[in-house]
Amino acid sequence: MPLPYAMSPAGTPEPTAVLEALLFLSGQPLSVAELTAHTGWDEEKIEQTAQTLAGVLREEKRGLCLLRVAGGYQLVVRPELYETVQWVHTRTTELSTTALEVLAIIAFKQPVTRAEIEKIRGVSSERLIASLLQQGLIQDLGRKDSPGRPILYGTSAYFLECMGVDSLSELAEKMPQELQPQAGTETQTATTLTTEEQDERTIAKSNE
Amino acid sequence: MPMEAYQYKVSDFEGPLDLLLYLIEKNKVDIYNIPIVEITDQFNAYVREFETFDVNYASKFFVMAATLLQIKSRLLLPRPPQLEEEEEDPQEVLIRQLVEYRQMKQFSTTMATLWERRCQMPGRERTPMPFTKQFSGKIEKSALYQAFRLVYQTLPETPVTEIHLQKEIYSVAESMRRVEMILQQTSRPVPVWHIFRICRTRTELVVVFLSVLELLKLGRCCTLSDGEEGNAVALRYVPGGNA
Repeated sequence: MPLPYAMSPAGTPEPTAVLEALLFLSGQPLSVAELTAHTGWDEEKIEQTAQTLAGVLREEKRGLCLLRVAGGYQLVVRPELYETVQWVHTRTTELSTTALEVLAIIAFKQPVTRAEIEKIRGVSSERLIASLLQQGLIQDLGRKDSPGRPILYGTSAYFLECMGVDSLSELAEKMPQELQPQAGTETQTATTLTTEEQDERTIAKSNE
Repeated sequence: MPMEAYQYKVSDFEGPLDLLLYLIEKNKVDIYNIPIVEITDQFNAYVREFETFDVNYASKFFVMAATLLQIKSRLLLPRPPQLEEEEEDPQEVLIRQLVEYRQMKQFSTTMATLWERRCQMPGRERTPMPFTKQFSGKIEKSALYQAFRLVYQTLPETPVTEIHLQKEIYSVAESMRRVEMILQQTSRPVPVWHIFRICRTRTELVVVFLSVLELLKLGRCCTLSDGEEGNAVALRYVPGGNA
């Protein structure tokens, strides 16, 4: 027999609405840990709610979609709308093909030294590495235990965000099938940026 | 050779591997089975047309040209003696390098597509969290301090003519006795600024202030509210005290 009163406290909001509100405020990807801090939900509930929200946005053909990226969630504009929306006044900065080559080498061979990168490309890569470091796409992973103690490079969480993938293994899956990266690729799931890093990046971006 | 063979200048290529891959593509040959003689000749033909002389950039091409010649000569000459243990067949080394480089180039093309796709799904900037004002603690009646401050501001600053260390002219203990005497003279509460008024310099004022606090601490006097609105402070002597 149904109870004459509601079991949950009156006015408990829908979890999907709560998640939607938090992701809207965050703008940038919000990690599972941060979501737990705001809502008190465990990882399983977060994932379930995210699935539901993604489904709602899809079925109702809404303007936003849910992206799972770099270990967190983000509300983004649906790519099909990009052309219509025309939210650009200049072309977005693109990476040059050479920069992308260096980035690919670092992504799939990390951790890797500058000498190793140059050996693969056959040319000097110092300036490109410095540029990628400055853009926050790659990071210093310490030093190799060999003569000269050269710096080892790897990709950052921000790199995963820019690729729109959740992890390096997801990135590897998206590569042309007949050329799958070798087993040597480390399958790390990078964590999303902390809020301080996000705020720094916002300041850096707005200074451009 | 006809001019259309040089539609790309060497400086259009990032490096010798890039040029080699281009030639392999152009000649539609199998990377694992490069016709070394042909490719070497074509490579050198390009390098010979070098116009820019950036030493660093050019040197890499010359090294590759030399490597190709080495491979070519090994093929043309009679079978060389067995390679030593550490030495690898330069042709195998080159093929491995080419395969790896080609793989990376293809990955980077796919990554460019992913990047572009990601740019078509922009998010918002983070909404900054505003600070909420928090009120904590209680406002303490600082009437005592206000009285002190009033007097302090009207007193002249002690002129400093020369700097030499002096023996302490005013001591807190002496001031305490002085203040006690003033308080003992009358059983009525004494407005606190009557006490501060006796001071002639700021240093003296500070010492007297400290002695008042000390007397309060020891319980030899107590504070009362005074004045028309009750927001001035007066002191009264307490016989006995806590000392």
